[in-house]
Amino acid sequence: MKKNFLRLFRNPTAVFGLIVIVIVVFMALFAPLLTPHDPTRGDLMMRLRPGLWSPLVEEGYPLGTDMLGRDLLTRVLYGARISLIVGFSSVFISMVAGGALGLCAGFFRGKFDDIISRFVDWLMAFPLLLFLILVMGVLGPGTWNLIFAISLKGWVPFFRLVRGEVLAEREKAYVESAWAIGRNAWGIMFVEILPNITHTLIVLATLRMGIVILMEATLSFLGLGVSPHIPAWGSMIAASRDYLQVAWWLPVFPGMGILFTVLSLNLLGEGLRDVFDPRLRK
Amino acid sequence: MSLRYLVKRLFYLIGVLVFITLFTFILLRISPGDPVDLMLIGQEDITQEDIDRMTRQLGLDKPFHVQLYDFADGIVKGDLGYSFYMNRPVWDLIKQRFPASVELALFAMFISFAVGIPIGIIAAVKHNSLVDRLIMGVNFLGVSMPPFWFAIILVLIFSVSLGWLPTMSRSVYGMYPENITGLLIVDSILTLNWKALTTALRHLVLPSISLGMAYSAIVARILRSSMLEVLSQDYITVARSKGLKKRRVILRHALRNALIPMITVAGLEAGTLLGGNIVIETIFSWPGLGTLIVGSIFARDYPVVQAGVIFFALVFVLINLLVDIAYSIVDPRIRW
Repeated sequence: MKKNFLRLFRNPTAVFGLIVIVIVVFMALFAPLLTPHDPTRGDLMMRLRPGLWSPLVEEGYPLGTDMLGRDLLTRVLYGARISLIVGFSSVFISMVAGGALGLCAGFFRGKFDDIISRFVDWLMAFPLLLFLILVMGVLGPGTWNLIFAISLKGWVPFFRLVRGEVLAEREKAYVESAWAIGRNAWGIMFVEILPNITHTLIVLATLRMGIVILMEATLSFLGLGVSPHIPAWGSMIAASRDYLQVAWWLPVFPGMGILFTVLSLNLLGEGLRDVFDPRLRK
Repeated sequence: MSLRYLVKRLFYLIGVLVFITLFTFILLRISPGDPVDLMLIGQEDITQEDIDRMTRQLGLDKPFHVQLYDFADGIVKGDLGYSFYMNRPVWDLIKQRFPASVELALFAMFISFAVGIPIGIIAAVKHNSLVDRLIMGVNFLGVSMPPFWFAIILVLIFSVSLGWLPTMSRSVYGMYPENITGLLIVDSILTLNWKALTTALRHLVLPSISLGMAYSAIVARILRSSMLEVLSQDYITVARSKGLKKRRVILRHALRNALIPMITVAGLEAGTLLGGNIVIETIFSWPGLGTLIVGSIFARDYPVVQAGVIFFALVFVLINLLVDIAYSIVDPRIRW
């Protein structure tokens, strides 16, 4: 495991991804210390001011201000919080739920496996965005509603991955010897098999984070994500649409936030996959 | 393709549709907002009687299982219900909106293949060169970019700054061709209405590029890997050693087999494009199914949401079935 992580550091794109992610997390954690402004309160006298690229820049507002005179940089920093919270929480919940069900289904097979697998087949046929729009339309905007809605379908890829891996692992010799020395089923599942598939789980979780953050942004853009007064990247871009003629910076910077976060998660995920999955190693 | 497989798939299809119908139906009934309240907002002198009458008219006073039965009964008879809001049969609305979504999806697909296929070929042929790395880098960017943000950047450049292209709707008032198929491009060609054609085409450019670009990245990536696999096979070496031109080997011998996975991509794309253009339709005020569903969700127009979701799901599942069938025709090695 340790060796593998060292190998990760020899992959320049994965290292780039890791660095960007660390920066984004840092920005999100310390947003209140990094900026003197309040993300939700603005100065109407300071509406729609341009940033550093213009001679009209106002001191203390490097990326300019929005339609209510709020500092754009501050809002982009706080926007990282929402994306990361939603991304992390829903991927975590999905991983635990999907992983546990996948472990049981793959290990015990039988009726339990049949029923869940059938249900998963149906759920997979439901287009993701359509599903999320429907569920969020009913629940109403809100951070926890969003995490719930995403997890409601997000556990499926984890279930499929873990189930498939367990089906292969349970036939191996080390599982047989564990039976022989008298371990019970739960011991074998969690102590013997789980550690052997953790690395693939980590790769999937990283890649899913990117997808989930894109979905969060898309739903917030449609007004079906987090509640409207919370600064989220997607809703900031949506609000900017009426001001495109006068303030191009309003959609550009929140979008860069999404782009860099998702891009770095994808790069990191691919890098981890190369490291952990010897089948794909060149 | 065996009959048994087809029957199995058909059962799966029915299972999926029943599941999605039930899920949607139950979800909408437990939702907190009352459609009657929403419809009566802003109207004065409303008595309890008005509310009761309206609830009765909409069938919302009946018990849950009766509502479900009525709905299922309607679907089987081809009646998708009546829109609370727009006061029209839901089927009419879907028929009216669907062509707009199809037109946009087709153009987006065209762009994704027109851009993705050449890029995928180049990346595979120049494997591991600087060009390949550059293409794959841009590609990664394409997959990680939110399409709605890309759309707005395009609007900023081509409409706001340069003023070249329109950003709203499918055409302008008075420029719609006579309605034959509902696809503006086809209709204007059929009626030889060139002005309508150029107007419609200009309206299509930005939405279809915004939608298609994300998929061109996926197309390029999958084609690159399938191309690499094909290029390493013996028959390619044989063709090369016969003295055939490299260009001919790549385009005639390799590409034809490498394109097989594109069927899956096309199917997947067609399915998700029809669902995924919800966001792009919203940005460009495109009068398709996506904007219909989003609008109906905000208005709590149950029958439209239900029918729209089920319709989408049906299209999605049918396309998947077609992909599987197409596969077994194109690649005789695959048998179900």
